[in-house]
Amino acid sequence: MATPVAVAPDRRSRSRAGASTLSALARIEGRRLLLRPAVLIGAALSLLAMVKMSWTTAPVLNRDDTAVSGALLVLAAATLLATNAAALRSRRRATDELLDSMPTPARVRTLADLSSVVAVVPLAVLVAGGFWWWRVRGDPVTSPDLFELVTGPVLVLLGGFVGVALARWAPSPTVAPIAVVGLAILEFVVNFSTGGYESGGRVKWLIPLVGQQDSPRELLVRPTGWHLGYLVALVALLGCVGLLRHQTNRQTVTAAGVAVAMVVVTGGFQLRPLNAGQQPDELAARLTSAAQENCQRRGGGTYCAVPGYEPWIDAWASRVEPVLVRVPQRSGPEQLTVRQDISGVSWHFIGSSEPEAADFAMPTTSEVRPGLWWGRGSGEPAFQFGLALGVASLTVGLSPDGVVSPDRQGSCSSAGQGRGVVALWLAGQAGDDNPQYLRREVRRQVDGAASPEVSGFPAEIYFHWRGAQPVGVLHYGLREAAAAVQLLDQPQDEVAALVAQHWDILTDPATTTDQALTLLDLPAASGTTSTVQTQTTDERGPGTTGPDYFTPCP
Amino acid sequence: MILRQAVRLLRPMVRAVNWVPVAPAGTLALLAVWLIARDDLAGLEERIVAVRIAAVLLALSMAFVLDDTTAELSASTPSPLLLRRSVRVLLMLLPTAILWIGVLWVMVRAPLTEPSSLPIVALTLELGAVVMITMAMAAVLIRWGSSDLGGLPASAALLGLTLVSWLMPEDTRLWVYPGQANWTAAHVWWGVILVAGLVVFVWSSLEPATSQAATVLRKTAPQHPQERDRVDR
Repeated sequence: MATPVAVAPDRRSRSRAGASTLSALARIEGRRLLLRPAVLIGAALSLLAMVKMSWTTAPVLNRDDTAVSGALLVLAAATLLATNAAALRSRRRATDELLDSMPTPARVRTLADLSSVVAVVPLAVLVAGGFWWWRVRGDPVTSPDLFELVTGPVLVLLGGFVGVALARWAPSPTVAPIAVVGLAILEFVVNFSTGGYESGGRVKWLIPLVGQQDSPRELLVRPTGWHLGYLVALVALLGCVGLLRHQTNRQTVTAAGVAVAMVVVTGGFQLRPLNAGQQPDELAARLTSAAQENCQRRGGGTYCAVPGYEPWIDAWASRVEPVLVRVPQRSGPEQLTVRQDISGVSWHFIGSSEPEAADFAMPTTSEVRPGLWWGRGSGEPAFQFGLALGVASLTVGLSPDGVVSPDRQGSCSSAGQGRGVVALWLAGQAGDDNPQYLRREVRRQVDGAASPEVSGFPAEIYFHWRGAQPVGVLHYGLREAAAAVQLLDQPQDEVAALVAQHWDILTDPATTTDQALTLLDLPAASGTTSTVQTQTTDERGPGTTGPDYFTPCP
Repeated sequence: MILRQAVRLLRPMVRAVNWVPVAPAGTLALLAVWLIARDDLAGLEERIVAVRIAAVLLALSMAFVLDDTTAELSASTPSPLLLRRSVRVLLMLLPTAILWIGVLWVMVRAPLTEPSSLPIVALTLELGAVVMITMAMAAVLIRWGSSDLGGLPASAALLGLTLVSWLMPEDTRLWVYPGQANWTAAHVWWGVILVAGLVVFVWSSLEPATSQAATVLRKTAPQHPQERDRVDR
């Protein structure tokens, strides 16, 4: 009878057994990770943050891609907390010693914890995919950056790996929540001070996510490919850091060395300074000239869009045409140009920390300049009204930029001038949402308006100007707006007939609001409330010198 | 009697409380406000945001104060659970208060360009509410959860709640700024949260066994012979 002989497993079978244990552990940990409330709530909050941030803005895919990555930081933070808790489970339950007596070494358990994070990546992709599905259905403009799209899920992976590395090197449950807030502070401080600007240099690219901070993507040089490589290298490095807590082997040390080299190389490429052609002003000039060559005719106007934003031309035309049809043929602008602009302002300030370095683009007296933003849902009326008001102001002889004289930057006020009523009515009647928007703004701002008896100046109404980006600011009187609302309450064809009949007088800068109200068959006290009074410049007296922005528009 | 018990609990509680999170949380809080305070571009709103981040950090460090690995042992001691927890919280409030004063001092000593000042009282009320809601969550999680360590889930819940409150519509958001129409109303709500947190904390810290045990004991305790005779008759 043969005696049984104990045979030690060879290296290959040991390795196969280790791989199978790792795979089984990673599957279990991954499933548990996916079912943890922190991860599920984190995914829901990420989706909520994405939707919330873009609820009132039209889809611009080259900004939405960064917004998705930003919102996925919430899921990344939740994953950090969850993986940390999972990696500390044995310590919390005082089973470390028991596990040490098992054939599976601690290194394999750490590898399993790291591998389990991969399970959250499909969840991140699902959340981001749901958001993209919603955005792409809303007539988007521009194209997303593929590297930015991948950055979000990699951030989630990074969060998970940070959680495991922290659990191995600082094994206390108190560390992870504080690390989350620490990383949030880092993101907040860096993005607040330099995100979306070039003034802070390129060092900011060493943090996990650099936002755009309301700056147009077209004016930013974002090294997204290198940044993605940098994040992947960080993930690899953190994995090695977690494993180095256990008995080191040559593979781990080599992998750590490669990861460090990758971090240095990719990080270094991100930090390369901008060349002359990448300066924001240079990019802005290039885009402006591209917009001038990318024009389409619609009705009575020419519409020029920055390349990629052409789908918005129909939205602009649908708000401009209702204004132009109310303007008498002989008085309308010869050729209205609606030209999309980065903003009226020169973009020096993006590249400089000194705001005074910004100089201004030439003000306009002949065109309306919609910006690179448009609204959606409840945010759209402000943009629609802003654009219509820009066109309406131009038709009554006001520069949408509030120009005082051709060689002087504006801010002038149309308060006290009859043409202010006409411009506000023209804008208010253009489209289904505009009347309601103007009514709401008048109602809202009448209550908070400073009394002219106290301030010495007519109360003004302020609009969200993003529908048309002015260089300067053209001010409107609150009283004129209230009168325009009264005109909106009357039969519009009758009002249009009166406006057409008295057009020349109504648009004369010398015609006062009172005179205009008489011509428009409104009582002289129209638009006045206890706070909405007006004084003409003459009534203020020659000794009254107010701020420049109350200069009456010429 | 209770006061004497509390004083006797002080020394063991000083040893038992987890002080570790105070140092990193406090350092981070001070660093965050210092970074914003030295930024010339940061206005009042940004400063308030930094102070609020500091408040959340300090509340996070307090989230672990109820974690007690010897809870089952100490449950058999004569001092009630509420007293033991109150002593822990009061002990931890001491460094938290010092750090909070430090946070406010760093912020106040950096002059603001705009003619407005930091609303110290309102921000302190917010800190109190955030701390109290964290304590309440930790107490609830320990009582109805599966572990005596409620710090980790409570701190995760605090971070989640902070984010949710930030994502709320602007007119219902409690993180308001001076000059906003709902400033006073929001701080009334902060007061309500503070009191509600306190009530939940106290309720969750009452001896869990007291009422049930009394009922069970009444039913199962051997009756007095005279009483038993009366019932038999």
